Amino acid sequence: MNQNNFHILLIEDDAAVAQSLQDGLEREGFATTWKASGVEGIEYARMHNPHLIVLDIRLPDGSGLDFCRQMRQSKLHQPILMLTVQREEIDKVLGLEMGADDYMTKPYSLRELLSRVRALLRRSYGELATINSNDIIYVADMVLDRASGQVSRGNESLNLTPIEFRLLSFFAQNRGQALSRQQILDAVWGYSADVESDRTVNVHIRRLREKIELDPSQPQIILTVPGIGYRLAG
Amino acid sequence: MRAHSIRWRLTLSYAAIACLAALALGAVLLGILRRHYAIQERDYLASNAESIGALVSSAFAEDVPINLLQSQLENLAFISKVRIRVLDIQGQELIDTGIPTDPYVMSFLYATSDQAPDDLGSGSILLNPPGEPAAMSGSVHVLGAEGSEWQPVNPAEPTTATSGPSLVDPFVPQASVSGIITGRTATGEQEAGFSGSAPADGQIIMDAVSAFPLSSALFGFAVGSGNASPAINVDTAPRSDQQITSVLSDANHNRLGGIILSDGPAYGSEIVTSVARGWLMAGGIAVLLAAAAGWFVSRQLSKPLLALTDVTAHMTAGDLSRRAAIARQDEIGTLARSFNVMADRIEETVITLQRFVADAAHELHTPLTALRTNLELVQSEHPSAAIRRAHDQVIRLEKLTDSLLTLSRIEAQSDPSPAEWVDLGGLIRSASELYASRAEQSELAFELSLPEHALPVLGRPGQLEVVLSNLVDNAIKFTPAGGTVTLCARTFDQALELIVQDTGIGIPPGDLPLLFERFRRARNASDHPGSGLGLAITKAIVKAHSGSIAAESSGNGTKMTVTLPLARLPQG
Repeated sequence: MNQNNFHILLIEDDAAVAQSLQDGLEREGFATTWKASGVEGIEYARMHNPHLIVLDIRLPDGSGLDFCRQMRQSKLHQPILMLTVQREEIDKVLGLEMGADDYMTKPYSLRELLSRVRALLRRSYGELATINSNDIIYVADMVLDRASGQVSRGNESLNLTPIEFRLLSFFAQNRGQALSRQQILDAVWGYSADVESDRTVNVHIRRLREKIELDPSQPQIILTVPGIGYRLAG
Repeated sequence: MRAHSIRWRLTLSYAAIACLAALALGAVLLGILRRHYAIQERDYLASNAESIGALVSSAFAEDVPINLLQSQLENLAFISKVRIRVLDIQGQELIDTGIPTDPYVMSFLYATSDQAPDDLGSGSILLNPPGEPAAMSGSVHVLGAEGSEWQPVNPAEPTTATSGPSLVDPFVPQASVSGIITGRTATGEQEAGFSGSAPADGQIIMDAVSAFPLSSALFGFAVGSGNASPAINVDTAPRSDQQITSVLSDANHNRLGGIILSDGPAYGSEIVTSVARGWLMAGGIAVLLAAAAGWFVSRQLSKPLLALTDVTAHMTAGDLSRRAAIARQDEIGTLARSFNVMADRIEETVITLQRFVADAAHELHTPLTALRTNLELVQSEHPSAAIRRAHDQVIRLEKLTDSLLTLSRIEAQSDPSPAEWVDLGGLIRSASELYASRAEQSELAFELSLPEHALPVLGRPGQLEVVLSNLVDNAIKFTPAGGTVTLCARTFDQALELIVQDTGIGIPPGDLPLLFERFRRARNASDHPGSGLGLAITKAIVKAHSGSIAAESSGNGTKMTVTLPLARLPQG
């Protein structure tokens, strides 16, 4: 997935926010265009068909939600990431019902925003591009290359040990399914399962989280299932 | 409807007022009637007493034997329907006619004579109370055909010849009758049963006697059938309780004795009774009508009040646009209008506040977003401790802003999402993976204890999640590695209890009372990051859900208990 091929449209009225975001995205290798109003943004999207649109919910010429709906009505199908300051559930629901694909609340962490952008792009374009490769596994916004044993997030490579890589791969193969510690021991540690204990699993999971989670104190990728074991989110 | 509602109270008051009015009116009316008739009864006795007094006085003066006087008085008592008692000068009772009892028997004696003058029709009347033969004494009056004159005749000693219970047996000697009665029967027919006698002067042939049982009625006498049983004609007319005592004296004003007249006819009693009966019925109807009127009026009163209550309930629940639609010109209308003016003001204030909070959130978050993004860009290009510290402070500022705005939003009740049925158990279960993961990353055991059944609460799921995560995050934050965080939910009575317990550093007793105040942090919490707003927000949310929160702490941990009202499961 070459991020240089992706063109992202930013519709955001605040110049300071837009410019810092542009900087962040461009440094990741994305091409960006910034429009400060909804009308301009839609017009630009119609003409240039960007790969992804980051849309602020509060714009000088109207609500981002209305522009989102207008874009969907005019057959613009690219992923839309809404930016909002209201944390309320209603915004989330409305944003998604209006056709948005994801939302983030301001202030956001740049890392997390980039992670969401990558995940949206991969979901819309990435997996199609690598449809023939059985060696590539996607977990959240990470790419696992089974041939090389490498895990990357954007341009960044994550240094996982072989056990951690096997652990993450095993989760990826059983996406969303709760796995018991015994299952994990059998699958990841294999023959040595009988000498390892549940505690080993806990320790490895914790270390893996510290490497792959955006905020390791608030895990979002590998979740503990009380009374059972673990599962990979999504 | 509750018994102490206006609707019932007003209805009962109306009925009670009507009842009191009817009672008062009835009492006055009956009192006046009774008095009026009592006076009449008294007058009647008084006028009789005057005449009878005169008669007895003259009898005393002429030394008429008591038994003769008694029979006279008994007849008078029957005719005037009063009880007559005669007292001597010492107050001893000489004669008592007794309570006028019936039936009496009236006998007519007819005599025919060819020699009798044509213009005279005569009859004799014998009045005797039956069943009291010993006391019987006949008296004969001769009535001229014109009915103008009474002539008392002294009968001789009664003889004892009986011919049947209903017929009069002791009859006056024909001799004395024949001396007086002249004339013929009105009908010219002879009655069998008492045949003629030896006339003293050959002029009169005694012929017949016919007898009628008589009963006394209030307004006169009634003639019964000849062989009727006395019981049928028992006097049922009520007797007056009035009594007249008059002193008898001779022409020289010497006291001779006294007479007492009592038990006269009670003319008023039937009228009073029927008036009382009518009044009771009218009073009952009046009370019912008053109750109905009270119900109607109270409906008129309570309906707008209930509507107003409904509006306040909706406004309390957050629908500030509700207004009272009461178009009345009275005090309630004024109340509704001033209520609406007040509601306008409240809505305006709340909307202004909500708008301010929303604007403030946007205006504060926008520069913070730019600041944070720029710091993160610099940090990734030229990492330095100073930039990291600045970044930490931006995040701190951001959290503080966020918490303050959240608190304002909750307190201004500007959450746009309406309250809904939430299964708190489901909410906890779906969030428990995140809590368990967080606890695990802090090397803590996480225990979850939930009942199988649903835990329904009426509330906002987003806010309830904030309560849960604030409490669990606090427990994780203040518990050293190796400890345990327990999340437990249970129901009792109509409440739901949510308990978050840890084995952490605890809260000093002195800090417990201020724990939920803004910016208050326990003294031993200074090593841990935090704004001091988390528990204030938690409490505000719990309060907005009509619940309560309490903290207990000791050296080996803290227990936070949230109590929320349990909602009934939605129908269907």
